[in-house]
Amino acid sequence: MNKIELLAPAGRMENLKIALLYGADAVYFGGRNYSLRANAKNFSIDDIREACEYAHSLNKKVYVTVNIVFHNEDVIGLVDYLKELEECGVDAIIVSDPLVINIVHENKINIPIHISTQYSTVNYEAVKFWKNLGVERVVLGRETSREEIKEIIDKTGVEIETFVHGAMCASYSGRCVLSNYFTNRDANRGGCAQICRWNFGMSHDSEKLEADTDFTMCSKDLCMLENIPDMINIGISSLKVEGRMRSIYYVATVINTYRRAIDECYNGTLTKEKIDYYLKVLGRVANRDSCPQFYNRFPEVFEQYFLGREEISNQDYLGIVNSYDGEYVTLTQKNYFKSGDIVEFISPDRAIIEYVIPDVYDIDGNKLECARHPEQVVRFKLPFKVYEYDMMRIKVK
Amino acid sequence: MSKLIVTANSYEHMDLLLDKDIYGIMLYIDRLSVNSSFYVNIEDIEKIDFKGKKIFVVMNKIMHNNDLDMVREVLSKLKDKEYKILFYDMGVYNIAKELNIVNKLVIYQDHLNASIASNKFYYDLGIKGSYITSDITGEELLEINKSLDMDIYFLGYGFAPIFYSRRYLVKNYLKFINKEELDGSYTITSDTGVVYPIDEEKYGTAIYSPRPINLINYLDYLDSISYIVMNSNLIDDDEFNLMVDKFINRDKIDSTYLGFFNVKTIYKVKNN
Repeated sequence: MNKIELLAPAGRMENLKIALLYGADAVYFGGRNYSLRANAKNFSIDDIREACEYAHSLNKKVYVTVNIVFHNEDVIGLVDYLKELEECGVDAIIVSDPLVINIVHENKINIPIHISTQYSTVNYEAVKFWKNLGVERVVLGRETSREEIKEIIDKTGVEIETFVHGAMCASYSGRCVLSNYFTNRDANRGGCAQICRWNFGMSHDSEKLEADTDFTMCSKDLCMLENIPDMINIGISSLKVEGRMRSIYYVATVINTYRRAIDECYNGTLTKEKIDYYLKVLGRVANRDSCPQFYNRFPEVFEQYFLGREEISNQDYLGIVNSYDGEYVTLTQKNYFKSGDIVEFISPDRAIIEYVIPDVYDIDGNKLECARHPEQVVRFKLPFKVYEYDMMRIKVK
Repeated sequence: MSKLIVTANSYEHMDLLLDKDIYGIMLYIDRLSVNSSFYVNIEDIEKIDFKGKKIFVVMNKIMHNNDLDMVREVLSKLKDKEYKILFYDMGVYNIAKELNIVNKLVIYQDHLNASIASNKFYYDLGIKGSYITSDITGEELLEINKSLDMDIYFLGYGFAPIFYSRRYLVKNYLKFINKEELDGSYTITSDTGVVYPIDEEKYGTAIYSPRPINLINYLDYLDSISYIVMNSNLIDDDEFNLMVDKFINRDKIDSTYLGFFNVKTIYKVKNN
């Protein structure tokens, strides 16, 4: 059996490199057109070529989302675009509108196809349908339970990808056009305005319900870390992390945490203590609560958000390493820290190292009371080796 | 000229509608469909006098594994019937293909099936009918219609589904605020003051357009569309019956809600 794939989001090139560096086996992103995150920076064809070269040099994969619901006008240029993706060496495209399958076949374009979660495929007969069309992989709807996923895998033999971490749609994906109605932004063509996170008044028979708390459709985020061993056991092929609009710190932390958990699961060293610690790490980087949603039980009140869902900006991320000269580390500051603070250095494949910050200097050698200016380059002594793209964060307790 | 097909809110309501000059009736199959106020069992259909009207069976639920046995059972029973079968999920297609009844199928996917090329995909699979989503403009609809040899269905009157969740969102909220769930209708209102119906069903929660879409003034424009659907869900029987008569007579109405019929949605909010 192949080792399960860890698939990371990459809203821009920097995130892509960080995701691959921090342990993703593959990344997914959208091009400038035909992708559902119209407001992410997204990738030009030159970017996609560079991404493929970079990923393939690490023996990793690149999937490109071509997952809008097409209107007539959107189809123009699609054939050329798909041929360009083929020429770039993209490892698969993720599609929700099946017209793309026809175009790929009719034009003999050699790119494997993955069916997007936007199509909400949640049963084995539908998966068999895609299999018969030559589809390589199906990303299941997030409404599937563990038993449903297992039955689909057992009965179809198709590669199955499921989400493991990140934000959830309140609806079946693809079956929501709230954005269209509330903001005229087309939800299924990249304009989702996340109306499901808005607050609403609710009325019954035209009478407003008196309540301290507004109605919302908002669900908690997904976190499947505890279920990784089981997900490996039932034969899932790929674990997908959501979040093409997220920061590099978020991507590095989430991907690296799942990477460690997956590897430790395979080598038999994943313990309850480690899982508890990883959940703490993931909890610190999140801006919303999370839970396994549909995997182990049917979501009810607990899996939704009605209160306290302020999206807090994360202050844990203190800096990213630029270089190390054998005595001093030079890093770009991201959040406030000062001499005496207890921090941790995280890196893609080495143990986390705890450290007490000594005196801090600016790039000209002037001693600083603290590092308070985001993006300021600072230096301090460090008795162990670190590398470019290692990150420094507040110690996770 | 388009043929008029309607849904009903109850057996009694259906009986009244069948006396009108409509072409057919849509019947939502219990346990296999959503977005309706009235569901029937396949066995019950046999007992109804449809007064010569055509039958369009709806199985528009997103199917989970445990629905598939019933899908197979229902499709088997429909094998020798003249009915059209409106479906959402490709699992239904796969079973219909096995039973050799793909020619009865009408693809009915709210929101997903919005272009000529998408419909061609389904046409190439042998599916000869398509219920087109209300998210596109009239112009786009007519382009699809003239480009393909498919029977096109389009919502002429009724609330358009705009959201479907597997979660019980109303029940969860009421539980959170310690209130009981009551019979009757629920709505939600945003800061803009626009009111949207929200309806918790057996298999999840649906939200609908703020008003019924009403294309009565465009019936001539839509004349080449095979089937105009009038959907009674969330609409009072009398009000619906009156509108059916107006559609039959091709009356005009001063002010109607058109949804996106004349409005293009924005693809990108800003250029990258």
